[in-house]
Amino acid sequence: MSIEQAPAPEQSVDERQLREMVRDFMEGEVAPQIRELEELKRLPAELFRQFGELGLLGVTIPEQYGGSAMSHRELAWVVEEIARVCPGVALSVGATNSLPIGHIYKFGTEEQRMKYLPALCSGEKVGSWGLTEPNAGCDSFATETKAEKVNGGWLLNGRKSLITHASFCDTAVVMAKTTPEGGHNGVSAFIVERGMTGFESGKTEDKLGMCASDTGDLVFKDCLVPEENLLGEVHQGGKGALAVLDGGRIGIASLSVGLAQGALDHSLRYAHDRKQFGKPIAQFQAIQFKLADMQTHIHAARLMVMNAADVKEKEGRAGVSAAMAKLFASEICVKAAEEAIQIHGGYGYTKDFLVEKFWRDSKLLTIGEGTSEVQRLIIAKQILNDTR
Amino acid sequence: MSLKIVCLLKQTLPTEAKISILDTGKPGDARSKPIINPYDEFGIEEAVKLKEAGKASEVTLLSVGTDKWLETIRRGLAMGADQAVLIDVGSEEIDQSQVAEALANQLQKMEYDLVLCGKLAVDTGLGEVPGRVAARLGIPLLHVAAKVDVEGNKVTVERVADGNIVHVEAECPVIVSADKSLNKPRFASLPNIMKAKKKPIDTVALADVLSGAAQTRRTVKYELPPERGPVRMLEGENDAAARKLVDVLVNEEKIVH
Repeated sequence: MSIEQAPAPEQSVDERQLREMVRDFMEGEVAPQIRELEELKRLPAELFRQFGELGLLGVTIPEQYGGSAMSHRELAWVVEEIARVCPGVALSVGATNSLPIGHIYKFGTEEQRMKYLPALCSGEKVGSWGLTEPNAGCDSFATETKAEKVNGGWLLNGRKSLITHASFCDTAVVMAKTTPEGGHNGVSAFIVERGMTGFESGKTEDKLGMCASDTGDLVFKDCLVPEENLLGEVHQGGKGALAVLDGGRIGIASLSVGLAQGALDHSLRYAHDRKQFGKPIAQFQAIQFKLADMQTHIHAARLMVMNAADVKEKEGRAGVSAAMAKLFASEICVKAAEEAIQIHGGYGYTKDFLVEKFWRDSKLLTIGEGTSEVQRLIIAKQILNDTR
Repeated sequence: MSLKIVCLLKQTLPTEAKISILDTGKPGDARSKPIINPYDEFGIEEAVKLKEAGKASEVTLLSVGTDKWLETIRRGLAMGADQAVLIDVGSEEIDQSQVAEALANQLQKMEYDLVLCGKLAVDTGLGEVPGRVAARLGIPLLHVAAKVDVEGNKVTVERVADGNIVHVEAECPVIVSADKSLNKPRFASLPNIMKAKKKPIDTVALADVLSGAAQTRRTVKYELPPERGPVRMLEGENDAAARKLVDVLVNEEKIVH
């Protein structure tokens, strides 16, 4: 696929080179197995290791922990280029970077960083991150999973749901209530390892899209987590999780831009090739207008993502910038995926073309890491507070 | 012993580029991003593997090109080569014979035990350089290698011939040209792309390694091959379609008499 994006934000040589590397890898190694990955319903361990070897799992993490020591902007490009070819794979890679790795790096002790990050960054071990529960979705801190202080550590009981990599993760960062009082102040984060008694994977979800990435439950039944696996300060895990989600939102926003760009790539190719009424459909204004709108939306969303990544780099948190980027990018991405099917007509509805997959994948993006509605709440709260 | 390896690197257009004759009169595709000649890339991959296996101590890339090649050369460094030398031709136009002379003269100024390169470059498809460089240096050429083994000072390669595999060996210094089945070049990792920026690329002026001898042959012009006509589909059941096909071949296209 050699279609270049027409206008693109200004990029450093580093950014361009890493984009090319990711694109070459995705087109050479991943594109041929997209349908197989969808069938498998998870990322194979081998592919995980390949992403690790390329330095794509701990993009912003310093080298001493096995990371690539790059910026959040560069991470955004990585996720975008992966999503452009396979959004499901981008979900796995993006989540790994932002959530378990991001959380352990941001809040871990030196010991915890050294113990967990190199194996997660290399893809030798697979990480997951557990905040959501059956009764705590948007209201994430209605957390029912409990961690009770016992001799030598904490006893975890409860269930986390809709967790990326639940079925095969080796290392999970899990939020659990450590005091019965409500709110963010009663939650702590723990690093749970596969093999700890009382920790197991629950059911795996059968999803509409993002099938290359597995989603399921993590179950804790009297799971004893040693004291040294408490991540960050006790009772402060709620605030920590919010800070981690902030990075996750930029991840979903860049994934959205990539998905929309992939939908446009497929549409451009089809519009040039497909002939009706004696000429390529690209010559019809009805098609041209769709393509122009897709390109414009993508460009705007990409600029927002890059801005949020820059804010995150400078200030450590992207807050409303990340929320706005996530809201806008995910909504234009669903629209772009829909238009891609429309441009493909009847064939777009078949599995002979990939646009149906892009459309199925796209819908997650207005939901995961905070729904569009939650993003609007965050944005509104900020501007109302600023003007009170 | 641990070998010093020099890999020859030519920049080419990607194989999927849409070639047209540009305003300069030369073939090209302004929209395609240049790449390392894929056969040279096999050579670089093999060199890096030998270094990783402890059989080589350093890998140097050597190119005859312009400063427009620097980004491509960096990509070779990101694969794991240690340094590079670019013989800068500027706006000079030189042919394969002169390229080989410049390469050989530069190689003589460098320490090397093994020279690895592609069996040909995908743009010209000529494959003259390996043989010409070997002849100028007076060293053996192990051509079109599908497998390379190094034991101490001895290099053994396997070449796939018509229905058989030929094992050929020679003592260093030696030049080995890579066939496409030699290996699968790696994707450079993010940290290695960053490290490559700090690796040295020395530039050598063409005049320092090429005598003033004039070219003995000239490229007259470039033209595109004739375009293929549209595909015609013959309708009808097998029997009728076959009759129609014969009619087309004999009477219309006059391919069969």
